[in-house]
Amino acid sequence: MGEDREILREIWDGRIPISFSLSSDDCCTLSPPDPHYLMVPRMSYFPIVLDKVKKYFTRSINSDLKIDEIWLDFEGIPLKWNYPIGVLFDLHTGGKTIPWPLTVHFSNFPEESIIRCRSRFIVLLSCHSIYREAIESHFLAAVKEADAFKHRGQVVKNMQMQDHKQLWTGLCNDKFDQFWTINRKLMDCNGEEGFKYIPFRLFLKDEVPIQRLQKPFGEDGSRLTLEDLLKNVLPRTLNENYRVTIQGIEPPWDTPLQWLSEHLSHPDNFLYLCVLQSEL
Amino acid sequence: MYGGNSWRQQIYTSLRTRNKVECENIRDLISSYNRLFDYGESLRLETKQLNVQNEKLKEELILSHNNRSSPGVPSSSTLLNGSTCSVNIQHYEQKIYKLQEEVTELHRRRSENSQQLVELNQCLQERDRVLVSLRNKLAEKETELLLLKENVTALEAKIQETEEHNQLLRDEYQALNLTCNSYEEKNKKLIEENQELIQRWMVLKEKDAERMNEENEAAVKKRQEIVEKNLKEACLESKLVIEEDKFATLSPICFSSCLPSKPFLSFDAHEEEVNALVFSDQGRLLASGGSDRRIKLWDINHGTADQKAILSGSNLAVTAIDFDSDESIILGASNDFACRVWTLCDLRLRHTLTGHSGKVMACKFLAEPSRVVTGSHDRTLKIWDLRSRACMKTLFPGSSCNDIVVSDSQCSSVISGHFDKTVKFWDLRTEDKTYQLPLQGRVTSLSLSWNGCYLLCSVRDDSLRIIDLRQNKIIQTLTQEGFHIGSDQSRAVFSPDGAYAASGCGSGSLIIWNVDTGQVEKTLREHTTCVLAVAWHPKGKIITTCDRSKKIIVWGDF
Repeated sequence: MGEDREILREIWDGRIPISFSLSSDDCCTLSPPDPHYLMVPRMSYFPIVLDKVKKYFTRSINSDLKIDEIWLDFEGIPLKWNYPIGVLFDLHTGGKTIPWPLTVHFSNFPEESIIRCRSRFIVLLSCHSIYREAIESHFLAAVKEADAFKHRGQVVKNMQMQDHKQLWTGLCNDKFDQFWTINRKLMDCNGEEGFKYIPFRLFLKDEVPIQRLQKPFGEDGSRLTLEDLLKNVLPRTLNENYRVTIQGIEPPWDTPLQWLSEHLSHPDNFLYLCVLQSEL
Repeated sequence: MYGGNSWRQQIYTSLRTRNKVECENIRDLISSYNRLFDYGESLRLETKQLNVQNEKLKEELILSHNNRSSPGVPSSSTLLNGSTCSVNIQHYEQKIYKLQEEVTELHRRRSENSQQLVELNQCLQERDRVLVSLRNKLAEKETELLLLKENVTALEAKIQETEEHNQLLRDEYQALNLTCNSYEEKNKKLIEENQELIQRWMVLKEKDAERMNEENEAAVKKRQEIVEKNLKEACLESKLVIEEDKFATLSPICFSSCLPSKPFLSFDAHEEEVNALVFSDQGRLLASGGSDRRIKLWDINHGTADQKAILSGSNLAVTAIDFDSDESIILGASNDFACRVWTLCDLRLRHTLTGHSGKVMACKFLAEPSRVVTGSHDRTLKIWDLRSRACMKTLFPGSSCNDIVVSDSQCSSVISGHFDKTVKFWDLRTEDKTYQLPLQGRVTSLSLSWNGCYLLCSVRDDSLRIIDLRQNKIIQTLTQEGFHIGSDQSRAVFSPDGAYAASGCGSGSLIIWNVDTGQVEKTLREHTTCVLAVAWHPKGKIITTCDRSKKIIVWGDF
């Protein structure tokens, strides 16, 4: 495992400025409240960072609306809370709109496009904890899935409960070292062998994300690159109007997959590729 | 280990630029915003707390004031602060004054309001009235509307009806138009056809005319040839021809009649009963007339019954027949109230003599063949002229006529036998009945002897009487045991030499009497039904009889 702290640090420090404004449907005060601005880590999830926003808008919404029905949209498209914020940002704006203007809703939850961010069985618990619990379990499930790709799930299995907790709290509290002490084990690749498969998700705009089995090395032992992955996975060849971004940047197509997976993966150990149409 | 790679460097730089663009430029701004926001929030909280404190302090202050102003409970503080109390009182008085002013103000306003209220109430009532009237109007309009709607529906129904009518009429009109068109086409076709036919007809006519001309020319030529030939022949043997001609036209003279003893021919002549049977004067032809409306001509001179011709034209049964003297015309009386004339050379019906109003029972040529006398059941006799085809004279005997004979050679005298048992004598020149001879029964037939002196009458008292016309007296009565005249049309005849009289019997036998002795000479039985007529051949050797069962029997000794 060739750990490149410089890169990892840069990725970890990725932040996006977001401007939250209340939807006019839910506003009950005479003048709409001023938008609320936040710097949000790219690696994080919306349910983790929305506490302050909820508190801010509580004053301006009707009291019979439930505060945990919160959902966000960008230009009318509801945002799926279960993807990392950076991925959503790249996917919807192409990394161009700064600050990212989002509309906050507390009513008319779009059931058909987003899963609810809480289980119906634990309504009695406080909203705050429900939210956290749901995204935490989702995050850990993703970690396990990624490990199943990489090491047939062996590493996660050998980890202890507190290790899982440490991963999560490290992410929640934006603690790089706390997170990476555990995550390092997951990124271990037994020297030169590499991962069994590369866990990745490829997003095409408005389509279901693509997820395939992809080995980091070819049959002849050569290192496969990003270009190979795209050739294998994409339903059609890309023309020049498209660009592929990971973590908001366009990596060169000759970058080895193994390295990409180790360094540019999100905390859930998945590599998120966004295929965007460049606005020319 | 990848540190030296260009792609790593590229990624690193792009990450740096990303972070620079996305956060570093704006991070400070947002963090300062957040700080300010938090600061604002904390300030707001603080303000709230201070407000609460302030309120609490105010309440406390008011409480303390109340305690002080209540007179019954002077506290140490009031005594201590008397001067402040008076100031407070003044302050409160001012307040009270202000409040009173306010109250008066409010009262005034109230009165104004009540005034306004009254006005508004009036207004409201006005509006109510208007509203009610409007409602009434509305109701009226609605009823009107309903009526109008009904009218509209009725009218619509009418319109529909008329439209249907219209449609119907239109359809009919169309149908008629179509038929009209088709008829017009037909008419056109027919006109064309007609023209074509006319053309064809014209062509045929022209051909006809040509042919006629040719025929005429041929006929003229032929006639000329015949004339030439005749002239030549006449030059050679004119004398002989004249003699033969004379002989041919004369009646054969019978010197003695023979009585036949057996039938030598028997045949079914007609389809129904045979009413009349007559020989021509020369005896060449035998004519029979039957109820089947026909007259048939027979030649029996060669031992067989050769049917020569059938003369049709009568509409009912033929009752009587007469030949003219030179066998060129035949006369037939019929039950259809008419008498008809045929020419024998071409067997064509020449005249139909109509005028009787009953069955024609008898007909005879007068001496000149253009005159005919007929006797009818309508109790008249009529004289006809064949040239003008008109009735010349009508005689009124007063009774149905059964038979007629023309007595003398000048044909001026006619004798008729009648249903009223009389024989009447007429002179055509005087147009009057000259004599009337009563008999003992209805006269069914008359027969004149060859010399015209004797008249044989068959009478319905089952006898034959012979009248001498010179004395107008019955000179002989012929009867016989079992002799019975079968009908009013039974005909009896003299033999051509006048020596015998023959008559058929109702039982079917033929009886022949000797006129001189009054004795029966012969009784011949062959018929099975009533014999209606008897005819004696002019040469005297053959007798023919006919009966009701279609049969004609020829008696003779050949």
